[in-house]
Amino acid sequence: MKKVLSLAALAVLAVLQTAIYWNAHLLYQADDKTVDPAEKERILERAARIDPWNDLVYLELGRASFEVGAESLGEPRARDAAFDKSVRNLLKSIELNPGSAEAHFELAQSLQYLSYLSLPVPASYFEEYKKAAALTGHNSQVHAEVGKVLLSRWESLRPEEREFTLDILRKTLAGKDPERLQEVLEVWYLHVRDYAVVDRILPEDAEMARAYARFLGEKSLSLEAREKALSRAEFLDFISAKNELDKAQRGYEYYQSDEAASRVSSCLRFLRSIVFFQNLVREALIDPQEYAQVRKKAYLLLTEGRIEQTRSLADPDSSLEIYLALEDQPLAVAEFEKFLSERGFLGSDETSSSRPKDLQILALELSLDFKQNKYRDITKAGEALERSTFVIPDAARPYYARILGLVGDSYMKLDYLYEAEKAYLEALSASNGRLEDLMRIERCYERLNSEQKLAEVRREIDALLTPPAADLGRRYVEKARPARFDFVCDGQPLILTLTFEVSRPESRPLLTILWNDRVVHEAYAGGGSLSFSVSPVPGRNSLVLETVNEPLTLLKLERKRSAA
Amino acid sequence: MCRGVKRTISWGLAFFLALSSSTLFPLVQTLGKGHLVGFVFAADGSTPVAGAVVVAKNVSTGALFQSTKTDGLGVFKVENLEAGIYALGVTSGQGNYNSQDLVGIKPDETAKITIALNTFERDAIEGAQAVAKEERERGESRVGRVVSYTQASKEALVLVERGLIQLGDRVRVKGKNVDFSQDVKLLKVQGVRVKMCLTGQQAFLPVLRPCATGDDVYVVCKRGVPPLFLAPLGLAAIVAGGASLVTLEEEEQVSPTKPSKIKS
Repeated sequence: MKKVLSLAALAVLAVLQTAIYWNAHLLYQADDKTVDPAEKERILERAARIDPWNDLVYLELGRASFEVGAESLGEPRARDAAFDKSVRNLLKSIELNPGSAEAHFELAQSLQYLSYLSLPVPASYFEEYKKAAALTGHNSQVHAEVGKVLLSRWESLRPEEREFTLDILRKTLAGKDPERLQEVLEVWYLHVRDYAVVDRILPEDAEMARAYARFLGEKSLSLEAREKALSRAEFLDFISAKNELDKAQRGYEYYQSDEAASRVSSCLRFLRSIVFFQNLVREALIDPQEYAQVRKKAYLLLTEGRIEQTRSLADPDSSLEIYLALEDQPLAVAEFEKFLSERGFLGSDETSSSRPKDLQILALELSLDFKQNKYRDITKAGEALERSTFVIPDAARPYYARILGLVGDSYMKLDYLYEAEKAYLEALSASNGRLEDLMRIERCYERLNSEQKLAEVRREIDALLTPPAADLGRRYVEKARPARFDFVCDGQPLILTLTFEVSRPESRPLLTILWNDRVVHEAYAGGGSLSFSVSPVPGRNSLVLETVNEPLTLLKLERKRSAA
Repeated sequence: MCRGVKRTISWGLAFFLALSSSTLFPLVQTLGKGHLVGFVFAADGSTPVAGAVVVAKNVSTGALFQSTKTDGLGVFKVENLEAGIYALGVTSGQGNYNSQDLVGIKPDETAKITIALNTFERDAIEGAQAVAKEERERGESRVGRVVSYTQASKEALVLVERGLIQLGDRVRVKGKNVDFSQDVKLLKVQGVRVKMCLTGQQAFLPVLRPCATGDDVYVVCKRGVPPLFLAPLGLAAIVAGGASLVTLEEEEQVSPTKPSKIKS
């Protein structure tokens, strides 16, 4: 009897195993081998008859029926039957496995379609979406889709539902996918438009903050929210720049020059992306002095690294020149001078590679001396140069002009004004009337109280400045394609007025104005013109105009001196 | 008593007549109907398109509805729509745009959508018109054939012989051994992802089933709904709102004992 029972039990087990195997096989057949949803349905129905306890079969069956319904939207009878079948199968799947996020999600979609078609719904699609999101582990697609559905019903959500929505959207955007952010923002624009909501879901990422700011600008929404987002993005970029600089420094310490150089370049890229939007919203996220320090250090590292690697003073990316322009600490300059001397670029050492000394190196040496207030050494070098019988080749004339300018500046510091005038005039002749040299002469004549000469040099300067009204030749500026202009100024504060044309009368293009790589103004400009103040440096200045939301045609740029 | 009843009925009738001729009556009539509002933007998704009209077609009844003309901000409104699922199109000053997406309307609710008008390149317009015409007439349009199939990548190299194939299209591959339909989610021409493939071009298209050289490729009506306009100038993409059908694509271990069967 026992034996018979054992055999019967074994037989039942075998039948069960076969049923389970056959069920799984049919599920695989339907899922991976079959494309036609109607055929899929038939196979899965067979699988369900064999093993009615596999929730995945009902899930797939629900999906297939939904697909059949969605493909026959124009045939009400077939469509409604298919959607009804889909819902029944999905409910069965959930009954067998209540923890399936997918089943809840698919059910929610089916129920949503039923509700559009005014068919009876056994459950609320909204609740099913919520369950799907709550049950989802790492599936950000479910979070994203449910998040959008919930966001589209923001007004009717209870406080706890709003918190839930914000939570899943935060998880969705944590992946920092700009496309997903765009989708969420489009829904937010249609249904919410509460900036606090985005503030709570946006990840701490510069690119995402910029994408949000771009969206706000393109849709002509709050300027303050946009500028705050940009200010935040710049702050995050500044942190990244500092991190890259630290890594670069360690790289140089461990003689990993290529890696370090790439880190410095990356640091400079981050720094270049900072145009100080914080000034427009009166925030102080980035300390300008710290920014200047980081920038200076980055250029110093880049310069020293390249000199170490190439054993040359060639300055293809002008990093040496920029560093010297930025450096204002005599001690730091002395350190750099020592660095150059130790490598044989400076000094009168017979073994040095700087021999024979050329004008480029002399200009560099004198620049370093000037930064260290060694004015008498510079004037002595100027005197020696005057006594010498050098023939200046054309290629070296810019260095010669720079040397003479430094000699003149040193005489000015020492109050030898006539000697300074002489050096400046020679520098002017060597540079063929460079604006910077004319302005040096102007300063010299001011101190000499030489009215007539002053008037003369001012006329020459005026001739070199950008005219008070510049015709911009109807230049067409596309969205997010900045237009750049050089603007030659004498350093006096100015008010610039830009006149432009738009394609539609009601247009209010959002214009961002950068002056010497700093944002100085941003506004929705109606009426075809926009005025803004700038503080130029003497000489060449850069003006960048960018339209954020719609294209425009530039007509004219006028300048007048600011009363301030 | 009898006179009282008569008086009540007379007053009731008078009130009903007054109500039916008053401005309140349309409100009574619109109960149970839904509305559609939204924005129409240019392809950049931000420049408003003024003067455009959104056309909505109920996929069940075939009833057509037109919106008001969009204003300077691109805002449109379609009122008193029967609840249901709608196919959309947009008519602007430049031409007509078909939408591949659907919108669901519920009774007493206002659906909101944002539409971006993507105009075809000049050489794509003719192809799109040919496909739209055949889709309306026959439900499908033969656009090309399979040149080869790569088993490893599950991609078919398709030569477009007429018309065009674009992302979002529903295509049918029909041959001796296969006959299946699928949505076009990826198109690659010479290794580069493209939005559409025009006549004479060959594109790699990931396919759901192995197919063979010479199998015919058709563009079929998406969701069984033919395009609204026969001569479209481009696509009206619904960038927010609408009744999108989402296919879950990411692998996820839902239960520790049962492997997930999410489509990849």
